[in-house]
Amino acid sequence: MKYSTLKIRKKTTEIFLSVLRYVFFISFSYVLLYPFIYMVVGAIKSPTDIFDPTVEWLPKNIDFSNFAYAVKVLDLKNSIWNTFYLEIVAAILQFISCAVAGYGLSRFNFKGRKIMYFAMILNILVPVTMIIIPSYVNFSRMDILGILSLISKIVGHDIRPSLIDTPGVFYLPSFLGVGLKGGLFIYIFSQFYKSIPKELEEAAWVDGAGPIKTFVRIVAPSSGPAAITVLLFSIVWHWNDYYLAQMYTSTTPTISVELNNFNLNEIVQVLGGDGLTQANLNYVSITLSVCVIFLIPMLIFYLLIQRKFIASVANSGIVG
Amino acid sequence: MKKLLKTLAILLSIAMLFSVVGCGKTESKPTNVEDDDDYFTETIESIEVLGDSSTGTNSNSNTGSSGNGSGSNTGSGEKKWKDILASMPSDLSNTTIEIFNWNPANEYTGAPKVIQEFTKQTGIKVKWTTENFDNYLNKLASRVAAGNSPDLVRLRNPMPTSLTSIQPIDAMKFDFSDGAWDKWVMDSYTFNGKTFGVSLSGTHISSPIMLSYNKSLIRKYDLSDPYQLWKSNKWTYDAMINLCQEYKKEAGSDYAITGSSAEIALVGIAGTVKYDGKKFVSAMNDADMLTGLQNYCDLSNNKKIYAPTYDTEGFDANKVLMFICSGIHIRRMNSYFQNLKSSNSLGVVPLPPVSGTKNTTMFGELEAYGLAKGAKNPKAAPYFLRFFLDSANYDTTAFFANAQAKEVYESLMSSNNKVWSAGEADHEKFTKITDPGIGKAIQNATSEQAKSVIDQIKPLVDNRVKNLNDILAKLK
Repeated sequence: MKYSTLKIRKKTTEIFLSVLRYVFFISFSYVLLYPFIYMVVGAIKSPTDIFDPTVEWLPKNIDFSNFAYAVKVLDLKNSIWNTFYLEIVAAILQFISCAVAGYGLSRFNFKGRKIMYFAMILNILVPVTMIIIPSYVNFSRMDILGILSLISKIVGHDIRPSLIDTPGVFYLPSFLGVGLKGGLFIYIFSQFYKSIPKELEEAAWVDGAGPIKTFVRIVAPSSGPAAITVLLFSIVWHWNDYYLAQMYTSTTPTISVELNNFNLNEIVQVLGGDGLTQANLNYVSITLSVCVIFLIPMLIFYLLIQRKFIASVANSGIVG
Repeated sequence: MKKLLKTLAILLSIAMLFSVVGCGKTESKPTNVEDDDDYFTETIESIEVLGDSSTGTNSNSNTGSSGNGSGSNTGSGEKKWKDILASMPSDLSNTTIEIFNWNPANEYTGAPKVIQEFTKQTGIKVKWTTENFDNYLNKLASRVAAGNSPDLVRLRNPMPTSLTSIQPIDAMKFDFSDGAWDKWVMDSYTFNGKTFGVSLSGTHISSPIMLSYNKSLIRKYDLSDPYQLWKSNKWTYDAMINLCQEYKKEAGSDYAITGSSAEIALVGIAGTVKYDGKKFVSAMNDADMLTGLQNYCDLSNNKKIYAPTYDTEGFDANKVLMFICSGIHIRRMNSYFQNLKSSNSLGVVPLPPVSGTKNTTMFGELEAYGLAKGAKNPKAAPYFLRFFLDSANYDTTAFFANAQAKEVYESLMSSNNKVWSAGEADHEKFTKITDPGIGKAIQNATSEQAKSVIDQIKPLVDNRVKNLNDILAKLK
């Protein structure tokens, strides 16, 4: 076959495959983005548009008041504040403590190391719901090695503090590396630190640095990919955490708790004073607005660190 | 090699794409949907109602709470509220009682003001704690284990599984013998000789099963109004079937009735399991089980009158004539049937008894209040319940969607023949025991196949009975 014919054939095949690729990726993207687009479009629809079968993707009347109602029903100011000072702070504490714990497990041989490793695996394997009752009891009468119980018996009344409904119930486990998905994060860090050449640390030891200084000055700055991954997942999972927030708090609902408990009764009861009744309430759009508001902070956060995150996921191999 | 890998990657992605698309909903067959979870999810909040002030955010939403607050009683054998109040120990004043519920107080129109009035009259402060329905039992068990129990706990059904954190009402140290208390409810909540739940007779906060219908569709197709038929004693099982068939013909609809509980309520059987006073037993061998299921299959799959979908939106959107509902659905301040309620098109009638059977008020849910283990203020509990559940303290006209709903509700509650279906699919998240449920088993069965359906689900029911009795044995 002539060379020019071969060239034309090759070019045609390339164009065909290219078109096929674009069709595939656009279709796939549509499937993935469809719920999100539906949510955003639905959130800005007016009541008439919601029930108008001819209106699908382009609202005839855009109505942003749904977001105002959603803010009110979610009690957004308080729930966001609760989420930040309970969950996000706990997420950051968790990140720091898991980094330290991961370094210890990966670099040092000490008595009980295998038991600690096993405990870390248990933390990953055992679902929170299985241990929630003993955890609740534990936090409601916090004790350290039984010392406070002993003192309580001596003084005659119970001095064990209750951490329920306080930030302590989130901070303490996170500080000790056993918070939400703590075991997984420790595992990620420990595996990553194993890949860091020991020579770097040995050089620091030679210069007189102790383990803490070595970790702070040498290891931690080198753990960029794992750190970004863990920080992102920690913050997202704490943001989405509903179960622990619901079990451990009752007076300080986080935004995920407010979202999960959101229903029409709640809307009517909170907004009833605004002249809204069941009949004129745009329940669908308000619900979708609530979902959009819930997603926005994490979306912004992800957009800010997405480049570093993609690289770090590839390195750490964690998904989902 | 590179091209091969690329091709494989694309093929894999296409396979994923089709599998995601394949997960889409198909509307070919009605599916048996369990209770609507959304109704029961509520914000966790503790509303402390102290005197005249309320820290709850929803105080503006109540319409009409012009109950007289005196808890006046009717009927013989009932003590008056003022006598009860006079006999209340004085040391209960200035105490606090905590109510553990899966909905906030303003679920019941007028309830926050009733609570304020109670505090004003008795001096007992009320702390209302709302817990998400999904976590309700877990949270209760956790609090009881931690020694931080609430006092009164709302109970959904007299199932042993939901009573493991509840103690007998003896701890309330109160005389429940007067006629104001609902003996039938208390008997239903009595296990191993101990009573675990109480409710008030004729309370408006109950959920008997009834039939709601769309008045605008009745008018549109010029059909006989069920309420008028009921008032003239002509609302029979056959009349209901005829009405549905006429509607189907006029409207060209696939079915006329939707909702839940049809497999027990509509056909007059009390469900797969029953409590004989000592233990749970299977009802699958009962004589009326076979005829009941045959009737159900006949309605559902032969005549195609009933579809086992919990299609509240369809009913509200004028797509279905009738909906098997409970007392909860017909309340005014409620998310159900908002369009029908606002256009005054919601009609309500009792379920007609199956031919040859007597009028029965069925309950799929039998709510009551129980005392948590480790409750700190058990003695204040009966006083609160006596006042809170008394419909005389509420404006029941504003409580129900319309006068017809109220009338039918009161008629059902005054019945002397009440049945709670222990076999009704109690919410799995509440009982932690998988309910076999008749609905799924007979979804497509004809009346001729009812017998084989019974044989099919008997082992499942037996297993459930065993589970219930195991837990029952542990109740003390």
